[in-house]
Amino acid sequence: MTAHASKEISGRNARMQVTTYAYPWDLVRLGVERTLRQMADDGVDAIDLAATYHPIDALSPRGGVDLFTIARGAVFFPARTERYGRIRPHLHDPEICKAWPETARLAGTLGLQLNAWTITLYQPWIRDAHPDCARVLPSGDRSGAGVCPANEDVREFLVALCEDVVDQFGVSLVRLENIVPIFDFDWLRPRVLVQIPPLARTLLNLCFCNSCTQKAAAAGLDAARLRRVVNEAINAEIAEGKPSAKAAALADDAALHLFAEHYARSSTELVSAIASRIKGKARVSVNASASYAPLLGTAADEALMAEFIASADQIALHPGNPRNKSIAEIAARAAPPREVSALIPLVRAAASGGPALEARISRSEAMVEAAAGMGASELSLYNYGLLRERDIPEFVAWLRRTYP
Amino acid sequence: MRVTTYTYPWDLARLGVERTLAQMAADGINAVDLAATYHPIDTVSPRGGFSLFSDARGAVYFPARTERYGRIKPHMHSPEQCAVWPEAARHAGKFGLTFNAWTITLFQPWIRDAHPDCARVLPSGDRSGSGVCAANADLREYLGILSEDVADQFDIDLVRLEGVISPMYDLDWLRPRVLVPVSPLARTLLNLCFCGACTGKAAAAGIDAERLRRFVMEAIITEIEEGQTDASADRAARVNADPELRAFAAQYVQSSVDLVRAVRARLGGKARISTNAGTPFPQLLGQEAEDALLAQFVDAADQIALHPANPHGNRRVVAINSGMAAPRELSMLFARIQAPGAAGSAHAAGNAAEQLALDLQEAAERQVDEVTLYAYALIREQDAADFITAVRKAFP
Repeated sequence: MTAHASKEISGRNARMQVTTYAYPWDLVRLGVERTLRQMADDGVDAIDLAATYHPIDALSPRGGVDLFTIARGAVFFPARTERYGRIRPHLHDPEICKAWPETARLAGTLGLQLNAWTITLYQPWIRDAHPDCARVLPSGDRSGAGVCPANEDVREFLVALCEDVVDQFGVSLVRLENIVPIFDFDWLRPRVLVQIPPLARTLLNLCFCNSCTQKAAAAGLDAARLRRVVNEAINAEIAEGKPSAKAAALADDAALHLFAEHYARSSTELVSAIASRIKGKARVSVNASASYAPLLGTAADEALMAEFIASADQIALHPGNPRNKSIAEIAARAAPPREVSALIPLVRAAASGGPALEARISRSEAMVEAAAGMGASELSLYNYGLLRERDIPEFVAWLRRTYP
Repeated sequence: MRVTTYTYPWDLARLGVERTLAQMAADGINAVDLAATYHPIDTVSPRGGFSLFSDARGAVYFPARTERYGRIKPHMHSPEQCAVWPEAARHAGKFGLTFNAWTITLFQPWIRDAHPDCARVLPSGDRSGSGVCAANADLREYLGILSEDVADQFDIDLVRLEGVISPMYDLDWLRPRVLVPVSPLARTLLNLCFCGACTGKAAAAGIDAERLRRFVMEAIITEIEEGQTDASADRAARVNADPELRAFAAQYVQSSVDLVRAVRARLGGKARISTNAGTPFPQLLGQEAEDALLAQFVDAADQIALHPANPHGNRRVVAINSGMAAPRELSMLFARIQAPGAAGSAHAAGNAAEQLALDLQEAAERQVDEVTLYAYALIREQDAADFITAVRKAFP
């Protein structure tokens, strides 16, 4: 980035807020107080501590090399189970959950804001315990890992969980991760050997679980017919490996459009329910990568995105998402304008962060430049415990020099 | 050229066993490799309409007779899925299809969940979340019984043992997150296992496993902290010069050879055995020691499976094989991946047609006897037909 461009950006924005994602298991292993103190010394403003998490095999190079592995995800703070409904939080080890109260006690004294990084729908333990909560593909197959934002029990659980963590620990922001489903985002060991054209991908995002089909019925939609035409289009697209005539016919199917809009709004409604419950106590951040533009057209898709962004206080950009510019513009047009944040994965090794990450990531510095150019006022560095001790301070120092 | 195809029981169950086997035969396929066990997976099949199959921790997919097993009892999938095996066995012969048991060996998270002591253990002391160790006696007993069980029940030609040794420490990680550079030396050392079985064997051989663990961890930590620098070569030389460490690494590979041998002994000629041959420690072992271990792999099996993405390793294995008194049959995997980046495989990159041509050339140069198509129901009907045509053209 040129000095001129840098100055222009820094002139537009206040001091860039820098947060870092962190795992409770890393804090416990490395020492909560010592690690928080180091974060503050490194120039970090806030910690995004995982309140819930999905399956992971995470290698930390700090304090010796350490592998943390969890197969089906869990809740990582001492949730008060009596507050919950049918879905009771599946708590991880009490020793790891203890990171939360200790962090909450110390963060403020060290000048660190505390955020609750909350994985929302990618919670296989919920899917295992309550298969009816799973998203259901148009083919009728249940997702092996993800649950549906339209499901009332899922909603009740996430609202209760966010309120619980906010009430207990006084967090500033609840960072809701991936509350808008993408059909294969949460697959483990995916094997997809055929091309899936863009419209087929969009259609595969649709959910036909009981909650979704009942909502459709209540709106006078024939979900069985929609499922049939959607499947025909998906199968035609995959068979031909390119846009098909069957798929093109969906452009005029008003009922299908309505069904897709209902589904997209399920996520917005869930965010609104959470925001309403914690209003005045904590802010809400969301991210979104899914697009229904191939089905609904750009104008309708952007209108849905505007509703979604308006339901939260902050929108987080994801590196490589082709919609980032549009999302940032919608956030700027909202009344009041919504804050823009950006995830910055500090990947210091090629080809080791999982295929989705690999495909999208260029240099972290370039991602910062792009995010700042879109008006981001906050950067969230991924991930404190997964990086060497020098990586974060070096990067933050570069940030402060470039965006004083 | 014999053409076989990997196949999942869940796809046969959905598409119809008899109908699908008939189609395979009509396509010109000679043998079906039906999964007897499988690891976690989310597969998309485009056949018979889009279908997703999802399994979180792996399972056994044939009706295993649990009373035959020891401490590790097979965790079977649903009876509907397991019913595919007897039906496929009944129909395969009439279509002229040979029948193989595709058997995932160490990437079996359900075993790790039920018996955490069977897990591989990293030098850091952390247990793998998914993989079990070939040195574990219970695991070895289990795989021997399982292979015999499937061979006794079904008229199979070959037990295809997949992954008897992990070529890299993180192969079976789910949702891996490694953000820092792990140098080749660190990767090599992370492949070592310090589970109870491995350290017990080391002790029996007079090897101080605890010293080795400390030594190895120091090297790993330094490599990751400093990255690959000029000092790495000296560090690698120090590591490679430690005779105890070399013996410990060789012992780890030997465990996988012994596992193949144990399965072979248990089968007692009821079915042939196919395995991969490789070690994750080429620099540490040195070429002579590694070749000796590769020769043992070759000797332990009836068939060696090559991977087209490993031309260097293939050349060595083929050379070792050709020097055997009775050279083993060679097979090569072909993955017809149409969607780069979607399969989680480095092999997915590039144009599928160009890649197929390169892979067929590799197969011709290695003089393989068999090509194995991954995976019948995960590709479109036309893709399978195109593959067979290309193979028949390359090997008339």
